[in-house]
Amino acid sequence: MVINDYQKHTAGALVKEYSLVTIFNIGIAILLWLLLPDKDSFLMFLIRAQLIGHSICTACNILFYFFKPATTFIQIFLLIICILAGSMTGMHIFDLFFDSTLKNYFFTVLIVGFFFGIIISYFFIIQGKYSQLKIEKQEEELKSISLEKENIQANLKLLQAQIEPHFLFNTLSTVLSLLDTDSKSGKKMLENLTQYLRTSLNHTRNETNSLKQEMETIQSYLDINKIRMGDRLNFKIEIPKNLYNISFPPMLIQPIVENAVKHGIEPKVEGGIVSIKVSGIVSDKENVLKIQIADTGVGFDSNLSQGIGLENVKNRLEALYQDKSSIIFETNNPSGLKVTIGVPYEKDNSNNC
Amino acid sequence: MKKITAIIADDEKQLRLHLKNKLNQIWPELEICAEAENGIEAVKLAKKYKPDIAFLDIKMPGKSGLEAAGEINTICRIVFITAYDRYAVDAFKNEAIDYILKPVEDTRLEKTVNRLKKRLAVDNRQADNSEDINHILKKISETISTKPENKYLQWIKAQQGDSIRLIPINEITIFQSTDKYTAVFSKSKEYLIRKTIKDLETMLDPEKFWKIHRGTIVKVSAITKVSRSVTGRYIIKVKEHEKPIIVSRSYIHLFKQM
Repeated sequence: MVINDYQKHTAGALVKEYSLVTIFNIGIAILLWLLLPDKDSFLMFLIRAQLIGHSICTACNILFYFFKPATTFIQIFLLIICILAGSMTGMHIFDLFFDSTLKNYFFTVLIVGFFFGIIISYFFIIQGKYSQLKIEKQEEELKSISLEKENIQANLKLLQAQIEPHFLFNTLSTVLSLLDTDSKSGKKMLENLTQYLRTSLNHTRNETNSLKQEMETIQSYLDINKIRMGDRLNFKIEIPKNLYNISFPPMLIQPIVENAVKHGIEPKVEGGIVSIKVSGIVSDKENVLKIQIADTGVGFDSNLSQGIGLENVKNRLEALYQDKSSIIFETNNPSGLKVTIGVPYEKDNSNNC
Repeated sequence: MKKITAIIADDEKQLRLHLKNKLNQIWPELEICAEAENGIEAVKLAKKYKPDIAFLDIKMPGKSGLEAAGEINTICRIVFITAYDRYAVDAFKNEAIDYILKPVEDTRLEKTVNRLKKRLAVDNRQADNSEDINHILKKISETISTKPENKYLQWIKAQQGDSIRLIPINEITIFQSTDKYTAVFSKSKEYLIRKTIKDLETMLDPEKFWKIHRGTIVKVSAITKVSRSVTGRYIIKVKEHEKPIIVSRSYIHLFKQM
């Protein structure tokens, strides 16, 4: 939470700053000592330069601490005030303690001080900006690392969530029982399971699918469940032929279909219908693929957790399309849940086959 | 000798058929007097036929096998059928409750059948301490529940034209009371709901949502900036929401801890 985010002056940074100013002041002292004709001792030059330099630096620190200038213009304006005030104060303190001929060079010192003051102050501003950039860069790196970690974790969770052991064992027992009574259906079910597993496992390797392939996987999943649940499950999939070949991330909508069966239809004594409808909305700006998954199941309670599957779908939509995608949850009529996903898509350029 | 009877309850017809065939081979004397395809029917049939054994699938619509067992375990001996419930299987083993694993294997089923025969010879009722059994069943059903219920509200239902929109709670940034309704802000959209701020206050997770005013609740992680006005009031900015919101004096303590 940002309450006071203006650059924080740590003790270390201040020591570093004042040491730099001291070194700079020595340089100025040497320069002036060489330039000015009326020679006083070098010590006088040095003391005076240190007093002026540190006064400017302190004035800057005090003023910038209280005003927190937002624009460069105000920064420069404040800087000029600091240099003027700092030079005057420094010289005044010097004059109080030492009686030197340097008093006569008020304007020369002021101009030199001004000139070097600007240089050193600018140096500090640039350094400040540079370190801020460095911090930002570090933060960005950190963010990308944690994002990557999240991705890996999401993938892992997805794998666990996707191939649900309960579903797998139930399917296998049905296949096994069919081998005795209806081997043809058993064979068909095994084929469907293979297709389903292939896509589920491939997904973790981030391969892209065509929309048709994705629908085939969903069809396999629903076919398996149809054999298991009999009349209790009915389903229909509507997809226009011209959308078959567009590329689509694998297993993106599969968890929603699984939710519809598992949490919608299965708990309902009389069963229900799962309908999947895909449509493409073409406009000048962008093409939107709309996928609607509706079930006539039990619907759900406001306190039901979102579940790993759904959380994953949302995370993947976010990662793949950022704010260009949408996911809407509605109650279905007369009962159940309706989920509508919208994603942008590239129009299929390959020849229709 | 009286014939031993049983009912089979499983929502999958194919699996009922399979179990029936297997039992027929291994235990031909057993008579399957009825089949149920959900938990409610299982209870009804058990009460009607008073069988010696009820084979109950755990995951069934209407009533789960565990719920059904709680109602009929004084009538007949229960054998649970389960596909994959590690916790349930562990519990069954610990509590010496009979169970069958799907897919049904011959050798395993034979073992279960032999044990059942022995127990039925001694006493053809489930153990007398049915209260203990009910307690165990409740515990198991809690651990294997497929519907993770949450203590706090997870979805907000809002009327949108003809349908009711369900908004995930973690996508909501602000609840603000208006004249009659409560306005809900989510992803730059505004919805109206009937629940009052007072109702919501108790239904939302206090770790994630803070009431900052009599009529305002905000999502803590959506707060982007907290500042203090000249008069010492706290003003906050919330993600996707342009207008700053004033924190009421009675809720300032929430921000002072930071």
